[in-house]
Amino acid sequence: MSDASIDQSKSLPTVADNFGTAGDYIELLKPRVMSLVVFTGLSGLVCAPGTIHPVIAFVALLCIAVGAGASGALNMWYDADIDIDMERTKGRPIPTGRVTPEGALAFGTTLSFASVLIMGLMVNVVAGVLLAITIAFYVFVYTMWLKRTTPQNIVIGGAAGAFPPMIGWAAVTGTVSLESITLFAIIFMWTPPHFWALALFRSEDYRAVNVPMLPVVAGNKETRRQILLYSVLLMPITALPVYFGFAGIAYAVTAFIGGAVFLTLAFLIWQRGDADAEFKLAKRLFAFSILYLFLLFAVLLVEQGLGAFIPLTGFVS
Amino acid sequence: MTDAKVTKASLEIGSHHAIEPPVWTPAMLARRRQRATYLAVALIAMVGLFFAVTVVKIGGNIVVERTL
Repeated sequence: MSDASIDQSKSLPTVADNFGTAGDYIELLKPRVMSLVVFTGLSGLVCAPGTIHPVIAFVALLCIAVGAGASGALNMWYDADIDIDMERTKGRPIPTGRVTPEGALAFGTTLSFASVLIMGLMVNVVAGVLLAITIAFYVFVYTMWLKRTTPQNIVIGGAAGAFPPMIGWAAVTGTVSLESITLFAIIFMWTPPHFWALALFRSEDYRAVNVPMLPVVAGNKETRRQILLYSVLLMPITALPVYFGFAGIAYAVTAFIGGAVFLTLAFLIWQRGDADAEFKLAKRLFAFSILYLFLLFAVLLVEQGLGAFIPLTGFVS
Repeated sequence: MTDAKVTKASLEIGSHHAIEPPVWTPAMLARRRQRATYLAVALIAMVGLFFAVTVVKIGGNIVVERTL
């Protein structure tokens, strides 16, 4: 965080003090990200074969939520020096002085250890270990190492966001299986086009703070090409749950239609050269990618959780 | 930290302690009370959760033992 070139005269609006409210600490947990993480974790939990007591399932989801939030708080602590200069992040609790860096660090560290410990003791060791890997990967590998050193930051770092369904699955089965790796792979391959779409219309933010996001390092044209490439690679992976038999006809239809829309947007972004159209399409793809992932996992949940599962093979024959 | 400006330097760990000790204003005290209340609720909820998990885990074993 130390940098001799930091302009120390630059400051944000005056704040009365920096002893935040409970809401400020909740904001450190990135509640929006947390909700998607919990949702994918729940999908893994519901899709897994076997049974789990509702109380234990609740503890597992709580630990996933708290663990994800804790890594968000640690990310905000470490990135506070660049968040203060970015339009999207300058209103966060640390840059605005509502929470001290020490407070965020202590908060994130405590919750990280507590969530892993509780998961390991109350759910099972495999789920606890996976949660620990997720937090460590997000904080040490993505935030502290990759984010500021390589344009592949979100490709590799995306693994951290892909772990929750595996954790949910492990909470029920106590193992890591091919099916749970499939769910991991869907989020892993979804992350690059999702984040690069965001980076396309926020590239100035990243350039200002020297974060080597793909548009900053390789340009918008290459980013558009990579978005299309990863979108194409994502499509067959979204079909794997059907192949492995834990997703049915509703999932297959959703994945097919959603995938077609996703691919169309990625193709249009790749094709369009002018900045205005590119920005509009990038925003559209970014918004749709969230809906797409939500729908895929929501349908899995409905099929498995509410007994709406109709296998594709049975339907065809 | 009253009326302090947020600068990059002030974001450094430990930088606050070198400036001045905090002066507790009524607003800060109210926020501390709010944080303490939330923390108390969270701790009570955790105690309840630990109890429920214990009942779930031990409860199952008791059933097995009686069956045996």
